[in-house]
Amino acid sequence: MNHFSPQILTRRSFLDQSLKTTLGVALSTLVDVPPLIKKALAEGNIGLSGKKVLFIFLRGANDALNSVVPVEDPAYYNHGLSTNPDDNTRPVIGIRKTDGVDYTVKGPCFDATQLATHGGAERVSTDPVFSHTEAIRLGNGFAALHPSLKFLAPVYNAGHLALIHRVGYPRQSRSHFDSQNFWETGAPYSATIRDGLLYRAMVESGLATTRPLTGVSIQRSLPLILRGSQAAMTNLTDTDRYSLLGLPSVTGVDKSSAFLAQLNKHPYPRKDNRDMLQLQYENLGKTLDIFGQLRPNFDEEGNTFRDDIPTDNDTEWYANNGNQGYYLFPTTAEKNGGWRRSASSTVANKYVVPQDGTSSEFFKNLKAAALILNKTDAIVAGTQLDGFDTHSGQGGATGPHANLLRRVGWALYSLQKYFTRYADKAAWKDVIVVTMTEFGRTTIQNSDDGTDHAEAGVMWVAGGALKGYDGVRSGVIGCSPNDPVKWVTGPENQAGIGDGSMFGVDNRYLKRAYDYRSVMGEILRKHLGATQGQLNKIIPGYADTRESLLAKGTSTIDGTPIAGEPGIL
Amino acid sequence: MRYSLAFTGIATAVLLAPLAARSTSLPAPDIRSLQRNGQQIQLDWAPYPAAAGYRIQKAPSPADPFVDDPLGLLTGFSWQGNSATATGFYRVVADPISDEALLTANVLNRLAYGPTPDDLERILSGPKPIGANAYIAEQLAPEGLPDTLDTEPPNEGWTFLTATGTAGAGKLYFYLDAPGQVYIDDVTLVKGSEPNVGANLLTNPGFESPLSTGWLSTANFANSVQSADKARTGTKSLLLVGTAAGTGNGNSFYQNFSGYQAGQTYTIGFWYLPTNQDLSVISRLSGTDSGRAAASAAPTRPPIADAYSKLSTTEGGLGVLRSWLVGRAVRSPRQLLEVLTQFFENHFVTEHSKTVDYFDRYYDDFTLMDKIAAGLEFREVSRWRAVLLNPQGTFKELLTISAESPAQIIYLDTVGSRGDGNNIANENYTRELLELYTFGVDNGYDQNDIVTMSRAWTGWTVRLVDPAQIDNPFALQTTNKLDFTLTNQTALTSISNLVGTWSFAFRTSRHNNKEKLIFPGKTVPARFGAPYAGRNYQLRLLARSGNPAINDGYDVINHLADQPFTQEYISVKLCRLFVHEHFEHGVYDYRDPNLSEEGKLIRACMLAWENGTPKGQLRKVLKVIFDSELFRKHGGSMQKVKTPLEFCVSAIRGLRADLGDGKFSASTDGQSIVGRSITASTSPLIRMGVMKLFNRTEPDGFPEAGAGWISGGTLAERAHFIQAFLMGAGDPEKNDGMSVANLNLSDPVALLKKKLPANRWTDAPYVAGYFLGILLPGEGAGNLAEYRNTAAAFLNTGDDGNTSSPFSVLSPGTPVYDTRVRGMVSLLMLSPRFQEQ
Repeated sequence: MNHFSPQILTRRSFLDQSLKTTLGVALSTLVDVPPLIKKALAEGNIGLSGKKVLFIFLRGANDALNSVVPVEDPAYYNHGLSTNPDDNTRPVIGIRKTDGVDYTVKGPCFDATQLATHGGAERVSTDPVFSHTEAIRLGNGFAALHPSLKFLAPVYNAGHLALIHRVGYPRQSRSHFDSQNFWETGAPYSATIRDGLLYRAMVESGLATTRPLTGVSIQRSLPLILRGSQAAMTNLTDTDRYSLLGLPSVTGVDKSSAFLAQLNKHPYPRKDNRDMLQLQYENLGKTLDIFGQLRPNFDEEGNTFRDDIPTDNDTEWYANNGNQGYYLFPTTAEKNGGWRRSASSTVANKYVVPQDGTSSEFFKNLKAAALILNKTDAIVAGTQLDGFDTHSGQGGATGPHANLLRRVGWALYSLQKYFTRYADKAAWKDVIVVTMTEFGRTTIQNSDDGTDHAEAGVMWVAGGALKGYDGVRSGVIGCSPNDPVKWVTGPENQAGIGDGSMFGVDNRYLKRAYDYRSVMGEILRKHLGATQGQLNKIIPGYADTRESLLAKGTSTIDGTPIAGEPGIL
Repeated sequence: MRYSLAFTGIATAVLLAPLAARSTSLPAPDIRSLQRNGQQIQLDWAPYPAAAGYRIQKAPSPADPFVDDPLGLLTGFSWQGNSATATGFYRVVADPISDEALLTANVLNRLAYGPTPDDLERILSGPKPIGANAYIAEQLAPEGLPDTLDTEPPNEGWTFLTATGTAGAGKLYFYLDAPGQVYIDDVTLVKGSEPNVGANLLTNPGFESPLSTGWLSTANFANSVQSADKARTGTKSLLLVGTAAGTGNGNSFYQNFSGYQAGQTYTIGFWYLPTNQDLSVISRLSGTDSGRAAASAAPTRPPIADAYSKLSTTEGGLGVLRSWLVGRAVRSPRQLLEVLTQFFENHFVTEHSKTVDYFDRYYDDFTLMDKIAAGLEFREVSRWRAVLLNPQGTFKELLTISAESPAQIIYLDTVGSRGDGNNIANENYTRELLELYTFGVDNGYDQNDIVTMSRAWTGWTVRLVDPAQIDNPFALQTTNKLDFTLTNQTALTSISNLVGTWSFAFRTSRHNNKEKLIFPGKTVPARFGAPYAGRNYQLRLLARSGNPAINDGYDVINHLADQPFTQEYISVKLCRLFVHEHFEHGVYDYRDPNLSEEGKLIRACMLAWENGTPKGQLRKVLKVIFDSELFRKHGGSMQKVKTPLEFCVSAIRGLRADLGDGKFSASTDGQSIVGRSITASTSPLIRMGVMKLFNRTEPDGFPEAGAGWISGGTLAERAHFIQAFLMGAGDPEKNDGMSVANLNLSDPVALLKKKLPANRWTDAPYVAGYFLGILLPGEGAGNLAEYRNTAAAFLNTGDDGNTSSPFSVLSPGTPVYDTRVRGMVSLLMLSPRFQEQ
């Protein structure tokens, strides 16, 4: 439970002693020590490499099979492998192939956002808000994207996106409650690990109590993935809160801040927590400063970030808006795609993502997370999107689930653009964006035209340093019969074959081929710079060879073959 | 007692070993440097715990007597003086606050949710202080402390109302806004803006004489009478009776008062007592809206009693439960009981939302599930409090209540655990029972013990029973139906159509009936010493079936509750709560003659646990802690950081004094700290680091140590809370993003007027010193000198932070004065020191 306290205490007491005895100065100078000295006893590179992670938790369990769709598995359409409509797997919600398109062709992802003449794929429609409603060929010969995810295509074709299918963990829990906890602690069913995976990574960086910001979430409350008892991460329920209220009047802000700073300079007799408090008050001051400086961009009027090309081939908008594309973060209806056109336009107003308050809040939070990573030394930032628990009326190419996916697809596209166009402390090559969700959903649609809790899900990982599609290598991982743990097509109990992947658990659920901890582990080690030793502490399963998290093998916990790390970095 | 250090006055300062801040006896103050420049001498030293002041003494040689050096300038922790002689010896003397003052601060910070100004006077500084030991004794026997908060009747008390203004003529009116009646007593009308200060201009103000003396009534108020039924003082009051609404002149109950002066500011004050009617009482001076005082005179049940009433009938959800807990924490005279309630609630942690999740299979109504789940939390808390109110209450009883609690049975998955046939028991509860509730992690058990013990708990589940059967774990499901008119038989018999109470139930069919051997052959390790070492603590549960098999669980509880591992772990957690963070379980060797002070205290706690009859009496263990030097001296002083709950409650209490007119200088409705509902995400406790009371996800409970709560971001939230709390009720910023109106109310000016002599009200250092004294009583004025100077400078500076604006010329009662004091107090409460306890 307190497995990290010895390191912290050792490091702190080392600093304390060395500073006090050799420099003969009060501990208050600790904050002025260059980071490299602070890291004296820490291993690894987390937080010093400039590499960052942005996480998005899709709460409620995203339907993987309607996100990255195995269109070449006939059982996706009919689990009787027949024409009997009673055996249709997803008669209402399934994603149709486009007639005449060969999804077994290999190559780039069909880019429905641009004309072929503008760097897109085979799109022919010049409609500036071309609405695709059928499966988007991914070009790995097997899988396709949900049409709402069309904005992933340019990210994918740049080689900056990995779509990792069939992700789960042994003895998958089908409880939201347990499974979200397991994803966030990084330790399924652990009796001892109760704090957050990314929290532990921040503690392991050695910077968790010395930097003003290390791990930050922007949502209603601090998620478990950033919680722990040895250091407090920061959650921003609302970025506007990071100013003193300036009591008693708004004109008294400076007086208040100065007073507060003065109180913290005051020497004190030694007590157990006073060093920590002193340091965190310094951090408070810095946090207030940081957010004071960021405030213009946190605010709505500061949301000026735009696409650099005619988004979605919307040349009219582009021409009428200073040769810039759509707003990257649709935080209001006005900034949502090509909504406010000129009066003379003949094109209908269209949103780039479905407009509602939840969507605006999500993109406000996402913008704050991106800003914090780009403008501060924070290492990890993230938020969440709710609403994926689609038990009824889930919809197919359109509908509630499609609406959620449009936000996810646009989010990854806009983050790529933001960190490319507006890079400051973090460029696109420095950032990995990762989505998580607690599990996938049932292969066969239920009687309410929805899907229920199941097993393996899908993760999206994006970033400029990612090794995705490059003309030969595919960015689709885990959704092909050619995978290390191959996708078996067809239903359960096939003679001589066994279960198809989509029916691999209890004849109902998609069987996992990757462990989410392998994905997170690869990101932590190869991207953030954790050593393998650190990773073994952050994700305890890595030290346990029975888990096969590092390289291909079989999880002896439930006998499932898994592929180890996906090799995306 | 004083601590001092002699050192050579020439060139070299002697640096002593760092101060051992937690040790019970302190070394001398640590001189950091001595500099001599010609005749100028500068001395710097390290701050010394709880120093009331510092003095410099000198002597020609160490053998000579040291005498105070009256010359020189002492600022904070530095002194500058002159010496014509080349050599000399100086020493720094720290005059500590008294042992009684230190103990009082420790006691109020640990046994209570922080000091209130009235507590400090009652225990330490008032005319007849009872002393800290008497307070400890009171708190250790809470059943002897009157506490009516849960049962306070609807507002039948007299309420004071006041208003200030000028008058168009010498008339004071009373009237109602609707037909009805209300009692009124003790009316005052004074010149100036302070109620009850100065000569009362009214005749017959207490209505002790017939109304014809001084009073007149017109129109709708002609039925008003002198009443002997109620009286706030004396034996009579006015029963103001209105047949319809009043207006003032020509339609009111009034008096022509003498000595009217145009333009004069007057202040009305009066007490009213509502009858059982929904109306407002209004009093004002002649002229439109001149000095108008109005209040609803409808009876309202006080918030804590209201919450208690709802919770007792399963009509309160999580928001109500939290408000009740935090309301009691602020106001209860039984402070230690409140601290221990939250401690054990957090020790035997459960999660409200997991209970809701469980009941989701039976119900569709979220509000109903919220109330059921909160009711289960309230039931276990109520049962624990009954044990804590019993002089001989034991840990075993608390543990049993936790085991039997449906909230616990659901939280750690025992509810569905089966051991019959080939079923494998769920280990979740057993693991936490050993690791978190009794022995402590890695302390006397292994995985085999968990596997075996988990079978003992199979069959412990929950069931909806007739309320009369709540304590009968063998009761069948209730058959009381909500709606007999349903024609659908499935709906008729479904759980959601049954009326009853969810309670602990034992299902014999799910129990593992085989023999169980737990801790086979294990003996208590040698490190525990006598009388524990070498004891065999194997537990054999013989095969049994049917109802008697329920005793597998009770036998396990009885076996675990008083084992030395449990004694050690619970003692460690209590010492972390009451003393400081650095107590450990599983490591002390109690035979070691050089055992640390901490280890010795744990051993003393364990022996008090062991040697009582029955064993495990909580008060015996607590008394050992409260009698220990570690607790009573610096080891228990300001070593800990407040949790968000402790921070919020201590802030309210810190400014909460009885103003004598039925009001307090600080108050909260509870909701403004904990949020109104289960989904509240804007409450201070959520924003300060997700302190979701009664709804902790992780079974280790909320952290006791400060590092888990404090970051730049959470400190920003603590700052917001304090600033909003100190804002006046009408400030547009006061709500501060909360989804409910912020009713964390403060009036620091009323407090200082109540407590300080009038000639000090505009004395900036004195006012600053007063608030430092009540907010940080354990720190010592000598160590707060710079705080006081900074705070005084704040009081003497305009709100722009630059302009000089002497506090001494501000007029108490003006908005500028009020604002200045509120700002200064809020910032003192934002200081690092106020985060500590």
